[in-house]
Amino acid sequence: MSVEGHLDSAELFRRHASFVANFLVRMGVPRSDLDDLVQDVFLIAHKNGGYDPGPAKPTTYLAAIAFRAATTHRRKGKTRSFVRAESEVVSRAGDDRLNPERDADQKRQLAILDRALATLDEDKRAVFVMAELQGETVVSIAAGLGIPVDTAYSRLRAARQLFREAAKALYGEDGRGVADGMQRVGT
Amino acid sequence: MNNNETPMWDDPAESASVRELLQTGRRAQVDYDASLGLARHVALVAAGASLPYWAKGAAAASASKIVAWVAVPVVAATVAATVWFSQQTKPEPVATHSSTVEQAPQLAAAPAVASVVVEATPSLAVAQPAASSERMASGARHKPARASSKPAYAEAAYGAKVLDKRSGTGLGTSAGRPSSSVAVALPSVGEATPQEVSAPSLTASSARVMTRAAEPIQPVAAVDEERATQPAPAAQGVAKTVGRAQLDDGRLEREMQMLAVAQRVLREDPARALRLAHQGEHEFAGSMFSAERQQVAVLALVRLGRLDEARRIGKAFLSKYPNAPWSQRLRHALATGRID
Repeated sequence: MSVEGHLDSAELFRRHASFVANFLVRMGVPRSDLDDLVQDVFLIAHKNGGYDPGPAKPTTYLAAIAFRAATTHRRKGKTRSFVRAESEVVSRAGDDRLNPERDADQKRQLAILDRALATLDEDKRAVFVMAELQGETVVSIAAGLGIPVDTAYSRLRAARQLFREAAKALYGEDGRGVADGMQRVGT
Repeated sequence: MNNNETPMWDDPAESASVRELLQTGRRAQVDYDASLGLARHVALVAAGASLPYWAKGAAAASASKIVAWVAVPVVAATVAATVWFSQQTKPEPVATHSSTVEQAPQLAAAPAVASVVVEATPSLAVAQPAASSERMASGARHKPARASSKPAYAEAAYGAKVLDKRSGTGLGTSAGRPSSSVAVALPSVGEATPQEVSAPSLTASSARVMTRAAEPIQPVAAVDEERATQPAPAAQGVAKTVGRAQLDDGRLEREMQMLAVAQRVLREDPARALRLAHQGEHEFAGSMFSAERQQVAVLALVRLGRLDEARRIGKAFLSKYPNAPWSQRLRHALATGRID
């Protein structure tokens, strides 16, 4: 790094490729398109000249690009359905292969999670994923997305409420399970 | 809920099911091969890959809107003025004129129309490349064309801060900046001989990610042997200039091959892996794959049982790269003395 804090695209990739891949998946990008979109994100970061320190952290800077990548990708009709991504996400997200029961349980949980996330619109979903699943601060998220901090908070609040309701419906307050919950919300 | 940042998964006010759901989501990691992805990224950058079609589309759409706002009123006014002008100066029909002129009297004002249209053309022309580039790009994703993108597009397309207006395409640098490197000295080993780097072959997955010309890949050993018999680089003159792009591609592939071989032989022949890492660092000092080579070198030391040395180097290395794709593996190896 010749400039203090500057990160070129290779360095960004080395440090944050997994972050970007996880973010894209939680935004509903299917497996078949994941690598291409990850490449797009870092190619754009490269064209932008990499990352320089500022209000946005490298992660939120990349997430802002990834957010545009995911939404534009979907609007262009490139992906068949964001909901479709669910089963693929589940199939590869299990990291407890030694315990089939826990693995299956985790897959069920992730299926519900992705269903619940799919009920959020893109703007709220991006803020929610970054804040709740990837541990970013709202200030950094706002800086990355180029929106006022109050707007970010507003989106997060709304997203939390929607997610809460969706999770409740999907999960089943009486513990009836995923299938019942999914039927209840008409999926 | 107020503007507090207490995450839902840690908020006792939330239901247990919601917290559990989010905690599962936080733990789940997508199975993404970051090393392979990095190799592909480097290859795309080296090939001067153009921007993704959707980015161009966004830029084109933005440009089209601007052009439309400016061009449409101008053209409309121009057409109206032309019609009015042609009506004012319409010549008297002459009996001997051809039927074509009679059927289309407005064409008699062709000179005036032409001059106005020519004036309007530049503004209209701006829209055409944008629209056509979108169409073309949709069928030619990531073709290794010369980078022709305008960095300014990103500002319009993403609202993200455009940090630099340079459109760097050079390998090992991003927009002209040298790539970062870690100041961790590799362990001293003997220089690898050509025999040590016996002709590797790219794996199918490695080959898939390369976006290079159809030039055959030179085995690593072959490259070393050729170098011994070839004149010094300075004496190669024209040939060096002519094939510069190809040489750059070949250099990148050679570096990737060398790294791939080092990773492949890490378990069975850690001494060789260490030599390859050292040779690669000597030959491609400060390149994009420098960190990967050093990681292989430290793992090789672990495998060789030189744990103290590995830990000394690895500790500094991990402080520099705490969250790299291979950091966890390296951390585990240093802690246990075994490599997975």
